[in-house]
Amino acid sequence: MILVVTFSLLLLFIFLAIPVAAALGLLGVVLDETFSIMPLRRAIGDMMWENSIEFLLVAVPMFVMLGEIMLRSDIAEKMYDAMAKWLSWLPGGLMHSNIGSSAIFAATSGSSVATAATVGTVAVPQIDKRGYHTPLFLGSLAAGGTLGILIPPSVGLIIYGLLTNTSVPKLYLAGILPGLVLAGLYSLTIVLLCLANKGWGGQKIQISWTERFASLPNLLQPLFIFVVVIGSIYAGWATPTESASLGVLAALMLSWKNGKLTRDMLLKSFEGTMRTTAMIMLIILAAAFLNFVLAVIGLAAAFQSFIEGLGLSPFQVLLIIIAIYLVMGCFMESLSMLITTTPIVVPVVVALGYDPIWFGVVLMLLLETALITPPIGLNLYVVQSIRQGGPIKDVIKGAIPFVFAMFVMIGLVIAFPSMALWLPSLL
Amino acid sequence: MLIRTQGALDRVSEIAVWVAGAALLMTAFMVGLEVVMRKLFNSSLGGADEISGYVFAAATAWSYAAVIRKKGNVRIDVLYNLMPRPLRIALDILSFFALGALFALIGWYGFELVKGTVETGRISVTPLRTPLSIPQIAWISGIGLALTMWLLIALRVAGNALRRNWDAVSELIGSEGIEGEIKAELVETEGQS
Repeated sequence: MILVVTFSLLLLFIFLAIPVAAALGLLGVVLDETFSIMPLRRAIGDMMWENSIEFLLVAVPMFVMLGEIMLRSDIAEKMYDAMAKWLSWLPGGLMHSNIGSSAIFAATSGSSVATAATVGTVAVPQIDKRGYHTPLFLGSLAAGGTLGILIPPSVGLIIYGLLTNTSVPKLYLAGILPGLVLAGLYSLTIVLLCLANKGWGGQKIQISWTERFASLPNLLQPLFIFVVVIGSIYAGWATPTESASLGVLAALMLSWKNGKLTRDMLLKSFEGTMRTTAMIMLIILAAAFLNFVLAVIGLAAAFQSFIEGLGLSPFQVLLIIIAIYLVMGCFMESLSMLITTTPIVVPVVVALGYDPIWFGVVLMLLLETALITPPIGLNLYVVQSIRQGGPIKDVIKGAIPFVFAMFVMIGLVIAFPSMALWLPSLL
Repeated sequence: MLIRTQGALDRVSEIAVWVAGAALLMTAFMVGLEVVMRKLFNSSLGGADEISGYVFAAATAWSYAAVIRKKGNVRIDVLYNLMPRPLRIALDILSFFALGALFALIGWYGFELVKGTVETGRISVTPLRTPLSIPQIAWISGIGLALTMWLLIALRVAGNALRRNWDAVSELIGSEGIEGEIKAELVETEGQS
C-alpha cells in the first residue's frame, strides 16, 4: 500500500512538471500526514540545519566553483590542441581528441554537463573544417562529456557517498579504471565505425613528433589541478572537501597565470556556482526530509520485502533495477534521479550481497547513460545548443553507438567487479 | 510599484549571490590554509570545517531567491511540453505554489529552530563553542529573502492573471525547459574559447 501510494504520487508530481525539490518535499508531507503516527514535521528545522552545514557537502560548491573558474581560464583550448596532436592519427581523427580531452577535463571537474560544454565549444568548429561525419562527431562530444561524473573528482560520487555512508576516497578510486576503460571503449567505437564507413573520419592530419612533444606543456595545467585535487586525498593530506577547496585555489592560480583573472570573471563564476549549488542543495534538503519520513513509515523495508517476495535471484533483481534506471533515465534528469533513488535502492542492493562501492560505479554508469538517452538527455541538448543549427536528430543518432559502448561497460563492471574494486582494495 | 520593488529585490538577490560566492571562496582559502598548517607545521587553526559549514549554509540560503527568480529549479517537462498552453499555465501556477510551500515549510520550521536557539542561547558542542544563533540567523534570513522573492512574484502573477496577461505569467513562472537551462550554462561558457 505504502509502496503504491509513494511511487504513484512521486511519478504524478514529477510528470506534472512540479519542481523536483518541491515534489519530494510535498510527498514527504503527504506521506507523513497519511501514514505516520506522530507528525514528523517538527524535525524539519533541525534536519534542514544539520544538512545545510554538512562539511562533506561543502565539496559540492567547491567543485562547481573549480569548474566555473576553469571554464574561464583558457585551459580547455590548449588541452584540446595537445590531445589532437597525440590522438588524431587514429581512424576518426579529432573525434579521439574529443574523447581524450573529455577524459582529462573530467579528471579536474566534477560535472558532466560542464565537461560536454567546455570540450564541445572548442571542438564543434572542426566538424566542417575537416569534413567529419557530423552525427558521430557530435555524439562523441555528448558521450565524452558524461565521463565527468565517473572519473574523479565527481559531484555524483560525493552525493552518493553521503547518502549511503560510503567512503568518498574509495568511490573515487573505484571510478578511475572504469572511467578509463569507458573512454577506451568510446575510442574503439569510433575506430570501428570509421573503418566500416569510409569518409566518416574526415581528412588525415599530419603531425610530426616534434610538434607532439612541443604540445605536452599544454597538458600540464589540467594535470596540476588533478594532482592537487586527487593527490592530496591519497597522500593523506586532505579530506574530499579539503581537496576540493585546494582545487579551487589551484584553479584560481592558473587563471591568474593565464591572465584571465578579473573581477568580472570572478563575479560570473560566483553566479554560476551559487545557482548550481542552490539548485542541488534544495533537492538534497527536500530529499533528506522525504527519506526521513520514508524510514519512519518503513518504505525501504516494504520495498525490500516486496523484492524478496518476488523470489528472484540477486542477479535477476540487479538486472531489473538496471532496466528500471535505463528507462527512467530517458525521462529524468540524472542528478534528481541519483538523489531520489539512492536511499531506496541501495539498501536493497546491499542486502542482496552487492558491494555499495561497486554499485556506486554501476549507478554512475547508469546516470551517464541517462545523460545521452533521448528525449531527456542533458548532454544531447548541451551539444546541440553549442552547434547552433541543424536538427537535434543528428546528435541523438550520433550518440546511439556510445550508448551501446556504455551497455558493454556496464556488462564488464558486472562481470568483473574487480575493475571497480581493485584500486579501492589497495587503500 | 511591484515592478520597481522587483527591480530592487533583483538587485539585492544578485548582490547576495556575489557575496555568497565570495564568502565560499574565502572559505576555500581558510580550508586550504588549515591543510597546509596541519601538514607543514603540524598545528591546526581548528574549526575550519565547522565554520565552512556555517558559511555554506548561509551562502546557499541567500542564493535561493535568485534561483526562484531565474526559474532555476529542475522541472521534468516531458509531458508538460506536450500539453496545450492553458494547461501548461495551470501547471506553472501549481508548481510555483508547490515551490512556495516548500520554502514556507523550511522557513516555518527553520524559524522555530532559530527561535529556540536564541531563547536558550544554544552553543555548538565543538571546541569552537559557537553561539549557534549567529550562523542560524544568517541562514534563516536568507530563507526569508527567498520567501520575500516568492511572495513578490506571486503578487505579480496574480495581478497579471487577473488582467489575463498570460504571456507575462509564463515569463514569470513558465518552465524554461531544458533549453533555458542550457542557454544559461552556455552564456557562462561564452568567451572562454
